[in-house]
Amino acid sequence: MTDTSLSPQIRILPGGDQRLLAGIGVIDPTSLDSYRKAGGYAGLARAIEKLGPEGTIDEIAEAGLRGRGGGGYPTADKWRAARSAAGESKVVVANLIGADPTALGDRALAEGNPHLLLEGVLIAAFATGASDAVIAVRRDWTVAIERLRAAVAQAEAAHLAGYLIKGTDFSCVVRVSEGAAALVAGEETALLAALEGDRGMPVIRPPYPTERGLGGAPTTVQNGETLAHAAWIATHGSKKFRAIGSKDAPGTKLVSVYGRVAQPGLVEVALGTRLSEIVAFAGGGTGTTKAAFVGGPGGGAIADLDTAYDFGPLHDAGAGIGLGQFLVADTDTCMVDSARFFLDYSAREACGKAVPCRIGTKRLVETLDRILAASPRPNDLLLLRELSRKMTDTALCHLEARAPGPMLTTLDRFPDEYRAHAERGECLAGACRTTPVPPLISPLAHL
Amino acid sequence: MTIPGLGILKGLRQTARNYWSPKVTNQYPESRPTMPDRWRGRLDLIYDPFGEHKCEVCFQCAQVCPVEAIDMSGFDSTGKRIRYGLPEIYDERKDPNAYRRAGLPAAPMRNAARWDEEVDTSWLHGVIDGFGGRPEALVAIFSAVEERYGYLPERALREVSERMSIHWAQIFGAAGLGGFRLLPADGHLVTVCTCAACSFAGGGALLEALCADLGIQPGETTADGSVSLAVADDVAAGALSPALRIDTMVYGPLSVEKARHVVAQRRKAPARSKAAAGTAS
Repeated sequence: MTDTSLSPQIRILPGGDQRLLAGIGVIDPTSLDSYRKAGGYAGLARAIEKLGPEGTIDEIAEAGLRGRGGGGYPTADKWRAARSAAGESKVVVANLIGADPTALGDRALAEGNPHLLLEGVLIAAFATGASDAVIAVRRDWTVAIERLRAAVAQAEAAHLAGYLIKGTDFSCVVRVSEGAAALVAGEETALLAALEGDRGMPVIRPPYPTERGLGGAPTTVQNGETLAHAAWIATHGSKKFRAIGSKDAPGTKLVSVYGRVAQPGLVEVALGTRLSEIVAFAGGGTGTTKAAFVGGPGGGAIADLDTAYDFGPLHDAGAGIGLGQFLVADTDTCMVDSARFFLDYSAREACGKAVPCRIGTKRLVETLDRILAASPRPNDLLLLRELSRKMTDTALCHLEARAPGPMLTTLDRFPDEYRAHAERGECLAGACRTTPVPPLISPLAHL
Repeated sequence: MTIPGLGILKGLRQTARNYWSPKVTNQYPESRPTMPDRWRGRLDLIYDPFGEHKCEVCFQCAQVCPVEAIDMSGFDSTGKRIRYGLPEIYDERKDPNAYRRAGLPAAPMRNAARWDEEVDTSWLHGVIDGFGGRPEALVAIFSAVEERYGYLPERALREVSERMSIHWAQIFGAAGLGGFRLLPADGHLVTVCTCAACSFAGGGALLEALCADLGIQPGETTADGSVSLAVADDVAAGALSPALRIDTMVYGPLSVEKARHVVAQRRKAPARSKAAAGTAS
């Protein structure tokens, strides 16, 4: 009897629009037969036998699938670029680095339904003409690594992966590789550098990986969840995929809800769902919900919970979809301290390559520390904005460009909390241990 | 033969030529001069509005200078003084950050106790060969090393470097970015999660309580060597937040009392001896 349960960290919340999560708990993740019985590998068969590579890309384009790794780049465009790129051998890399460990979507998929991911990888390889595929998994997700390796071996034995798949001349050798456990390791160029044995640091784009990636070959780097969606589209068709979700971004997204909620966990929602509904899926807030930090360290705080959870509206609100991180803050959460937390995280995880990032994040944390200690310099609030703008302008990777996000959005939406901390040493949320600043007594007061 | 004053006349000829040549005013924002591709403008603003030097002594310019003509001194972001000269001469230049800033292979960990510890690495060859020596297996190999010793000993990393024919600097760089432990921890390793989920669910209180209980700060070991405290954000607590990890077991969600209890319980159990693991077959 093999163990088929997920790691205890992953709790799948009931409700939402379960598509990718539907199979988890139903399908035995260690058995190929169980997955095939549930209609698995029908998408791969349809792609190979009916659609052909171009047809598969067209199908994905019609479905309007956008990358779920945060960027929201149309998947079909990326695949088309990789397909038309010059190169004898091409590679598909599945990004399961889980850059932010609080994002549980990819981990749940890899542990609960590894064959779905593998099917997505194979479909991407077929569409882009790749003969090699690497599934890069965060190294401490040992269960996921073990199950993915087993899944690849089973699929190879059943001629669903490896050489001459399904008796055609399409071959794709899939390897499962451990990746570093770091925020920056999830950045696509850093991931490729790490796979080549280098320190995982981003490099300047262009050239994009679709032109020159792993070992110089055109490489399609795709987030695990995106690949699972691609497999779903190949199985069920683009029309069904568009049935839920918003017009610009159909389909669903795995959201990890945590923070001040009754039931932290993972939920799959249609894009365009209101933020307040997502909070409700997690059993509602434990206090009066004040804001939601959407998108983790590269996202931002949104106070208006009627905002739609979608690429466009979140971007306009200064946040981002990220890897699906969703932190709920209530009235007992100090927004200045929260912003400091995220910036500190970015500073600690900075790879050190780009100077504006390595030093800029540190300076921002120091400036926030001064504000929290109620001893700011006269134009510290201006300095925060100025420095953030420069970091965004000179960014080497998106992690750096978006790192000031949580601070900028809280500064815009909760300026009172910043001012109270800076001027009076008072925490409006009552969360920070502060020493109130004594009122300034003029040395001439006794005259 | 030299004619007195000829040099000055030659110079004045140039002056006169410039004086009578037509003057041109470039309408700057509309018409821009063509500059080399890598032109990044003139350096300006040496001091910030508070009179502090803006240079962080980051060595980035020294690193890219093709003829290695740049060296610098000053105070870095931690307030440490950096002097001109070679790392071998000045102690502050042996600081890990100084090495990293200068883009040098950081050997400073040698200063730390046990970093350079003698370990038996004969088993490593089999592991490396098992991966076919592919560079993408580096992280997997590091994981195996960490599992065996509890950290990455320098000797083992050197062995990996040699066996795989990868530069030591590259190996050390890759090992420094994967969330690996580079120094050994004595006794049970208690790791408090500092991820966003845990921190916002009360992970800070957990850490404070344990610090007070054990009388140590993260990165330190208790006097009797039974418990080492650390923080990491990859315990990945998710639904278990706030959580902590003792050796390899994850506990959560924990209240402060429960955390104290769990740590006290585990503290009694004998810890795996890291040194023994290192010397065994």
